Amino acid sequence: MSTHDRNDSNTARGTNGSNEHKFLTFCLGNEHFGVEILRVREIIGLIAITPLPQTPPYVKGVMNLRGRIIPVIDLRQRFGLSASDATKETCVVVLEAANDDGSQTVMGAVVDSVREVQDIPPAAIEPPPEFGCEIPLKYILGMGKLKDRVVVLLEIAEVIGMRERAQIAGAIKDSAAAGIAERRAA
Amino acid sequence: MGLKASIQAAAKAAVLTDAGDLQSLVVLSELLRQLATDAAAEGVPEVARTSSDAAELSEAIVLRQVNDVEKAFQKVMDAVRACDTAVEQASAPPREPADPELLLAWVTSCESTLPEIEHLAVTAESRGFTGETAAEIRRRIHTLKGECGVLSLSEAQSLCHELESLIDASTTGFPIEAVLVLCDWMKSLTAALRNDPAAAEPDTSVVRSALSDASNGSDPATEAATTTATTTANAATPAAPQPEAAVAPVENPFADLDSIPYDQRVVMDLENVDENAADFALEAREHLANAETAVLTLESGATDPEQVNIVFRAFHTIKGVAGFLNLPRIVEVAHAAEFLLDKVRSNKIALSPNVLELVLASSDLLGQLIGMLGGGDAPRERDLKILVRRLEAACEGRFPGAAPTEASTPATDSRPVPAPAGASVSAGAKSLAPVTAAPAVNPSATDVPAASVPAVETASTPSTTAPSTSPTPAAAPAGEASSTAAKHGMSNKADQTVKVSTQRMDALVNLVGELVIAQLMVVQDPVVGGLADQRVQRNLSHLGKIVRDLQETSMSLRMVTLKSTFQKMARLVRDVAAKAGKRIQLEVEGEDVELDRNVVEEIGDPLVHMIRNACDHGIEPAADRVAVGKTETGTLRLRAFHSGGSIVIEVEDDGRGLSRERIIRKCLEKGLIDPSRNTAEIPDSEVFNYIFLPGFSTAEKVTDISGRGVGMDVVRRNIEALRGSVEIRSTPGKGSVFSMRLPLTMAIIDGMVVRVGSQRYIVPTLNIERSFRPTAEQLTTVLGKGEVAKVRDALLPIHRLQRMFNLAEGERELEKGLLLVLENGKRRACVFVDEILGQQQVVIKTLGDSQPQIRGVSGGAILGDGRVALIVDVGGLLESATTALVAA
Repeated sequence: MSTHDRNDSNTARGTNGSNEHKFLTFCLGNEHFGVEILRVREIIGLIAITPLPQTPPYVKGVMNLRGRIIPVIDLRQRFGLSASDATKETCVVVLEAANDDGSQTVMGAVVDSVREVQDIPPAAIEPPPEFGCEIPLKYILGMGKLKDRVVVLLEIAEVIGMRERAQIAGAIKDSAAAGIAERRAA
Repeated sequence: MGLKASIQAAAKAAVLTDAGDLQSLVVLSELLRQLATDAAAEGVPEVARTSSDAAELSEAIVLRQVNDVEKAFQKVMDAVRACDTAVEQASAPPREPADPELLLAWVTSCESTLPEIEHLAVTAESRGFTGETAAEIRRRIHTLKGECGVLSLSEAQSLCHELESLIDASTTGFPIEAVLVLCDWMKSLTAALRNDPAAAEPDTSVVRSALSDASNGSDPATEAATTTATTTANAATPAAPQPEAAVAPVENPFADLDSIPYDQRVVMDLENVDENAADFALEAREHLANAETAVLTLESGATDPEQVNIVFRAFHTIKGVAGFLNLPRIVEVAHAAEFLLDKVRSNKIALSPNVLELVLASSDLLGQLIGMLGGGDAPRERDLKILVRRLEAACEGRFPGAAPTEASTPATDSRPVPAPAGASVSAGAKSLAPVTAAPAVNPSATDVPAASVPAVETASTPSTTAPSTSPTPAAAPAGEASSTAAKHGMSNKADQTVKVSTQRMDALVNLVGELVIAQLMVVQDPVVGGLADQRVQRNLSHLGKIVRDLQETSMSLRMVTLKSTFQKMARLVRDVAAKAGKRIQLEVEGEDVELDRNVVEEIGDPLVHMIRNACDHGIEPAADRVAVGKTETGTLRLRAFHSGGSIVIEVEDDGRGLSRERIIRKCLEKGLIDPSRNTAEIPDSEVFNYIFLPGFSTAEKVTDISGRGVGMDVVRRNIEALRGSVEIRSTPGKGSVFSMRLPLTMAIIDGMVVRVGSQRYIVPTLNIERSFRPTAEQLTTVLGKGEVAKVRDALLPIHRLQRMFNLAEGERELEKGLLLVLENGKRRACVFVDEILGQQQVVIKTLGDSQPQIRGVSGGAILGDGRVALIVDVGGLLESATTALVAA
């Protein structure tokens, strides 16, 4: 398995010293996507993924990242694109996103192939089109205009943030909320 | 309510609240609102703002408008603390910060001593007071007072002082309430200091009012006692000589001491030394080492007054603690040295090499005396007397020179003694607690000087002689005492313990976990497995053994006793009982049982809920008890013991027991039980299990303490998160037992690796009763509802793992696969898998931090080939399977 560390990608930086406007671009089918390079922890080849029961279909399962178990999602599934077989270019981009509370979620995302690190200044980023987009708008940070093509820049926190957490504790809180209402009424 | 009082109330509530306990959160938010109002009224806008924000947030937690409850809860706590400090800073002048290291050490020690004091008070209250416990509490408070003084915590010092006088003055009853209030206050103080060493001392009004309440209730002689309390405090050093009084003539300062036989040894009464002596010895050695380092720095020409202070503090602390432990000989030496150092400190005496030599000599002699606690040889009586004389003379600026050659030797010949003597002598009596070791040591110190002295004189180092002198007297008692010594397991090893940060310990345990994985990867590698070489295989199995031992040893590092947890519960029972107006007596058993630190930390909450429940609902009010012929005082038993590979903690009450009828009625109301079922046939275990459901409460009245039906749900969730189980046994009218079964450790389990299709799963070996390949005659289908297998006369439902985990692959014909008979608590069932691949220990890992809990999966493990296998949570699996079956 080939491993590129984030630092490796950093050394391949362009003229601009800052990483702020750099995006890692990758492909899903024919479409190009980009994620902020600061959110990318590393890129590894596709390794065995253990499926998890009772999870939405886009959650491929979990994998072993050097002794740590991390969840892996399938971006094709996530965006409702058709599934495709793994090729030797298929790889896992390990992403990290800050949660609302400041903690970090680390998660792998399966992509068809990784392209390059691109400088996309804010001026070259446009808001996503109102319609005509295959991907739900909340996942999109904006559209990055390059010389030859347009890259869909992703809002990682939304894509992997797992906002739709299970309704654990839902029941218990319901009962407690009822208790409070009672108490307040009394 | 004044600002101070309301912040006090909020802070107190905050301490008693936890994120899972929604009722107390509601209370907290109300208190915070009150605080905001008060703060606004008194013109402290920032406090008003912070507290109203915190109130909002805690309500949001309750109304589940926040994502991360823990985090939000932490914010609330921080806000409360911030308010507290803000108010303090507004009202109190800043305190001169004490040595932060010393302070931290003290705060840490307080975290164990305060609960101990509470525990003493609470047990004493329930069992009746003896003079012994009262004296013990008083001693501890006195120590606290001294320590607070050193750390310039003036408020704390004065409070301790007042309480002490109160205890002295109260002839009629012991002021328990006041002691507990003070402990609470000290806890908030130490908590504040931990976060910020310069934190101001919290508001004392509550404590003061408690103290004055108590003193009003007691003897009017309090006034007089308060004034004399300082003298009483000094009396704690009874054997301290009056330096001025004992001035020896200059010409031959030690002439009168010639009457003391040269070989006479110092005698210390070790008979009544309490168990803290070992801790004291350990600490005292540290102090002495610090002092010696400081003296050596001073000797090299440094004139830093702080170094003198370090030495002074060392002797002062030793003197103080030795005083409480009733070790007059140690006090005698430490006091003389301290007195001299005090003169140096106040520049009344110049810091000359003579003084430094004396200080070192004192330190050596003290080391030897302290060594006696661990069974070391006693120093010569004459040496001690001479040293004290010399110290006293030095206070007046006279240095009567080195005394007769042999007599002055402590500085030279005894220096190596303290540490080696303690270690080598105890080789024979190592397993003895100081208390039990005392009789063994005494003879060697008193009756056999003749025997031991020649040995000392001929041998070059005392440490080599020690084993030759002591084994004989020590050996016999050692055998008898070993059983008692086992009970004091913690204290007798005190002189060999090292403080290690928990972070490092966890890092070590994690590394060992990785090592286990790496080792398995090597052993299970097909290349290695294919090697026919016997030597390789033998070496590998040797390696495996070492790794396993290493793993066990590292796991044992994390084991702690349940003592402190149980002590907290004693306090809880007392408070809840008082609130509910009941009389409850707590009996504790097995507080020495050891559990993984993480587990101990996690069981606090469930225990609190179980005990609250038992006190509030289980045990009846005194009148009801008497009416049914029970004693007026209810009994609550808290028990911990080993059973199989796990630890069982039970909370047993002798109250009214669970009402089957009422639970069933409630279940029918809620539609939890099929109305067509014959309720009389539902097993107890199932009925009682319903009370763990969220929102399920049979309490007719909801009280402050419990009754909302939240608690038991929390209990079960927390225990299941620990991979434990909880079970209820109950007899109407006789009482009930809540029994928690917990794993010894959380990080590693023994697992059976099973295969379904291409997937592997790990089933905890503990849950597997047996496994077998079913035959056609053993299998039946019941009314299309599900498959069952006949296992030794019992019909057990069959659950297919492949179906439960939605796998497309795997064996479908039961007769071609394997059935595992799994059990969890009382629930048993068969689970169908393709085959068993083997058994191995695995390190449990989480499946990513943000992953929602998956029913039936407790985590993941990395197998030998680097792939992840899911660990089956048998409890969750069986439960979800059963509900699915019932629903079908």
